[in-house]
Amino acid sequence: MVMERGLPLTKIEKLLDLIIKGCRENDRQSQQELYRNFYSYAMSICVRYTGNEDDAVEVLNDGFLKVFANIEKFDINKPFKPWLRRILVNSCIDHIKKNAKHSHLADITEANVHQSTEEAPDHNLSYQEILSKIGKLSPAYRAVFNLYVIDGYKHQEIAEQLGITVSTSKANLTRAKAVLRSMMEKEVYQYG
Amino acid sequence: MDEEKRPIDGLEHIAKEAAEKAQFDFNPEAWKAMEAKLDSADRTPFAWWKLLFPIGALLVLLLIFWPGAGESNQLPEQVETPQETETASPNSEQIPVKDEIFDTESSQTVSPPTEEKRETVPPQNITNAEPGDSPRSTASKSERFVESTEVSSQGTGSRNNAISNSQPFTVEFAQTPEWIPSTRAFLGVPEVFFRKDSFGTLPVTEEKVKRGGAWIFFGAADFSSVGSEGSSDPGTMFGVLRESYVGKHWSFSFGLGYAVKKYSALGADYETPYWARNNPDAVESIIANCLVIDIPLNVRRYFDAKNGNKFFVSSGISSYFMVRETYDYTYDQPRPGWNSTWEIRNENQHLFGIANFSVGYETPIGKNLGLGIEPFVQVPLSGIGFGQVDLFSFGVKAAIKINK
Repeated sequence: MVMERGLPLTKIEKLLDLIIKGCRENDRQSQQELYRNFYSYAMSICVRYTGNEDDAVEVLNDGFLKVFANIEKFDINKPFKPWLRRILVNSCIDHIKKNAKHSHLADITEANVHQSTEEAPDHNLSYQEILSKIGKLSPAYRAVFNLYVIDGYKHQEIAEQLGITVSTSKANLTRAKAVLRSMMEKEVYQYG
Repeated sequence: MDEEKRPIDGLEHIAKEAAEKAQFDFNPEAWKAMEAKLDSADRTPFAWWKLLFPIGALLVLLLIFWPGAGESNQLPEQVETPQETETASPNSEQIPVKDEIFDTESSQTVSPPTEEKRETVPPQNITNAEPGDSPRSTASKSERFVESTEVSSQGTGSRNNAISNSQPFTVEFAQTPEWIPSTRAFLGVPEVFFRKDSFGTLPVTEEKVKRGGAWIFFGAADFSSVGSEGSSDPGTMFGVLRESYVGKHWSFSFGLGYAVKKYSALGADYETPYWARNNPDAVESIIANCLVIDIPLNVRRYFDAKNGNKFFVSSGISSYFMVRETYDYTYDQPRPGWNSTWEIRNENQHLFGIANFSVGYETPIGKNLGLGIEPFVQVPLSGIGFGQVDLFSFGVKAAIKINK
C-alpha cells in the first residue's frame, strides 16, 4: 500500500490525489495503481466476509468497479480508506444477501461450543490465518461477527441489514465468538 | 448494555488486529479479471435506446408517406391549382392517349349502371357525343373526360369558371362510381396517365385541407414532484417532434425528448430500497436527479384565432426511458452501511407510463415558421424509476415550428 512504502504523509496524499485524478479521467494506469495499492486492504475485508479468496476477489472486483464508477463523488479532502471500506463492506453485504437463499442468515445452528470468555485465545496464528478462521464460520455467524466486531455495526443495524432480529444477531455473535475461539484453540492444540 | 462503550474482549481484539494488519500479495490474475470488468463496463450494455432514434425516424416517415394518408384530399387541391387546370386542358395531344387508356379499361370493366349516370349529364355539354348514337357504355367514360376538359377550357380559363361549368359532373361524380378505379389501384403507374381533374372535380370549398406536417423543436422548464412533496429545482427538457396534419384542425405528433427531472420525495412515497426493506420508515426523504428519454405520441386539436394565430389542446401518452437515476437519501438517523446515494443506469423503462396534457398558443413568424408556447402537465400511469414514484411533471414549453 502507499502507506506502507514509508513515504511522508504529504507525498502519500499527493500521490493518492494524482491517482484519483487519473481514475476520474478513466485512465487505466491510474486505476491499476489504485487497485494495486489497496488490494491487500480490500482483500482483508472481503476474505473475512466471503470465507475464501476466490469469492473475495470477485466481491473485491465488484467493489472496485463501484469505486471507479463513483470516483467522481469521492471528496478528495476526505480520507480515501473509509470510503473504500464502506463500499467494500456494502459489496460484501450484497454478496451475503445474494447467497442468503442458500445459507439462512437467521438460523442459529446448535454448535457444540464452549462458553465464551473474555480472554483472548492462546494461539500462534498469523493474521491471514485468523482471517481464514473467521471466513470458516458459517455465513450467519461470519456476517454478524464481521459487522459487529470488526466493522463496528450495532445489533440493530445488523438486524436491519441482514433481515434478522436483534436477538438473533446477538445470539449469532455469541456463538460465532465461541466457535471461533474453539477453532483457534484447536489449532493451538494441534500444533502446540 | 451501551454498545458504544462495550468492552472489547481478547478475541475481538485479535480479530480486529488481524483485519487491520493482514497482508495479501497482489494477485495479477485478480487485476486481469478487474480489467475485464472495466472493459465490459466501458463498452456499456447494449444501448438499445439509441435505436429509438432511427426507429422513431422510420415511424415518422411511415406515418407521413403511408399510402392513402391524405390521398382523398389531393384531388380538390389539384383542382384548385390554376396551372394544373390550364395546362392539362389545352393539351389536346394527351387527351386521346388518356381516353384510349380509359376506353380500353372501361371496355373491359364498364357495366350497365354507367348509362344511368350518363342520362344525368346535360346534353349540351356532351360536345363529343354523337346525338344519334345509341348509348355506348364503352365510350361513355371517355366522352365524359373529353367533355369535362372542354368545359373547363371553354370557359374564361379562370378557375372559378372551370369549376362552375363542371358542376354537373361534380354532382355526378361526387361519389366516384365503382367502375372508376381508385388512384390507389394505380400506385406505381406514372401519374401522367391520370387525369384526376377530369373525374375528380369535386366542389371546391373554402376549407383547404392541410397536408404534410411540421417539425417542432422545443425546450422547456420542467418541474417534477411526487405526492405531497413539492417540486425541487426545475429540470429541463429538450426535444423534437414530427407533427403530421390530419385534416385542417387535427394533427398527431411523435418525437423524442431528453429531460432532466429533479424532484424530492418523502420516504413514504418511495419504494423502500432493498437495504432498508425491513425498516421502510427509516428513509425520511429522497432527492432525485434523473435523466429521462421521453417518447411522446400526442394528438392535437387546433382552434383558429386572428391573423393566423392558433390555440390548441393536446393530449397523448409518453414512454419514459430512464437513462440515469441518481438518488440522495436522508435517513431518520445515521445508518452506517446504508447507501447515502444510489445511481443506476438504463434499468427502468416505462412504456406508455405517462399521460400528457397541454394547451398552447401558436403564432406564425414566417411563411413556414412559427413560434409556440405550451404549458403542459404529465401524469403518471405507473410507478416511475427505482422508487416507483408517482412522478408528476409540469412546465412550459417554448417551441419553434417549421412547416415542411
